[in-house]
Amino acid sequence: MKGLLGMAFMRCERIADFIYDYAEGNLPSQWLVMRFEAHISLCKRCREYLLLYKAAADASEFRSLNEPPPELLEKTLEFLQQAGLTGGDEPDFPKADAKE
Amino acid sequence: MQQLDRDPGGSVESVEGVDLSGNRETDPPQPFDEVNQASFLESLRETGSVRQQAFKRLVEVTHGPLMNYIRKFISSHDEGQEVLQEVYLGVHKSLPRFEGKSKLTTWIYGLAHNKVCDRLGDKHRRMLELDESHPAPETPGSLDLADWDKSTPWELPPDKVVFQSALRTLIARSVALLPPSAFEIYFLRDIEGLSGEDVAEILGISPVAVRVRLHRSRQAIVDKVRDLMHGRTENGKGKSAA
Repeated sequence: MKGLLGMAFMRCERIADFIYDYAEGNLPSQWLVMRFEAHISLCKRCREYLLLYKAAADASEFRSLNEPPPELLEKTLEFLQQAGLTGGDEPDFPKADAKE
Repeated sequence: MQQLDRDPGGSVESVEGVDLSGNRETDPPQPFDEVNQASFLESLRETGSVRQQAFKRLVEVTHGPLMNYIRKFISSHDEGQEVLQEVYLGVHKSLPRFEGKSKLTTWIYGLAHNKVCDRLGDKHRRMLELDESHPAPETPGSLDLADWDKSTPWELPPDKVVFQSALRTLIARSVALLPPSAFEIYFLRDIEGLSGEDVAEILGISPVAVRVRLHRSRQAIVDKVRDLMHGRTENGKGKSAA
């Protein structure tokens, strides 16, 4: 009975407290996961909140959205080549144990 | 903001990812975190063209994400490019002392973070102070997808692909509006996929602080997406004209 009451009384404010750990899969107990999900299943507002939060956290695809202009690579490589790091008369690396 | 003062040492990590000797035509640059750290370091300890090619390869793979990171703090493209060049000079100079205690990605972002701090000085610190003054969001607030503008593609029949695509667009727009320090955490953790510990190391803050700031960043994105969905203006006040 206590468990059912606990589920019933998880408030929207608590969803905000737990959503980070839920999205990361780090809620500390299965019981808390169950209460969280029970609330989500019953509350449309929090369900939408979770949908947006998880979508925001799942951002790896944005890596390719902002491709730099090709000339950035050209200019960077040109600069590094002039500095002797990617071509031409490249200076030797200092030895790993060398003191600066 | 704390500057990094690291001198990595230790063992290299597992072998996977990029063939550094590959031809670019048939072996395009891989994502930043897939650079083969062990092979890369080994190649850089070779001589002549192998080493040059390895360094060139690193630049090819990393310059895009690094420039995106730098440009959030430095609005001028030319100045951003200068900082990027400084980062690579720093990478080249410090590589002999990098032995792999941290991931290569983490280490390079740490250098980039320091170069940005050096370039911005107090201005960067002020950016962070301003961000920290923003109160943490307390509640989910209201959101009703039914409020979405029916004259937009939202009215298309329920279609997960369309919905996801539209949502990604809104999130991308919201990410672009994040203040610099909120973007920094979000970029490193959620876009670049670094671990909380790695981000903490780069920024010189505790993993708990990373967690708190990352949550605020995500929440700020959610709030902005809601504003966009409801046609509110960028400062969140009022509805825009229909």
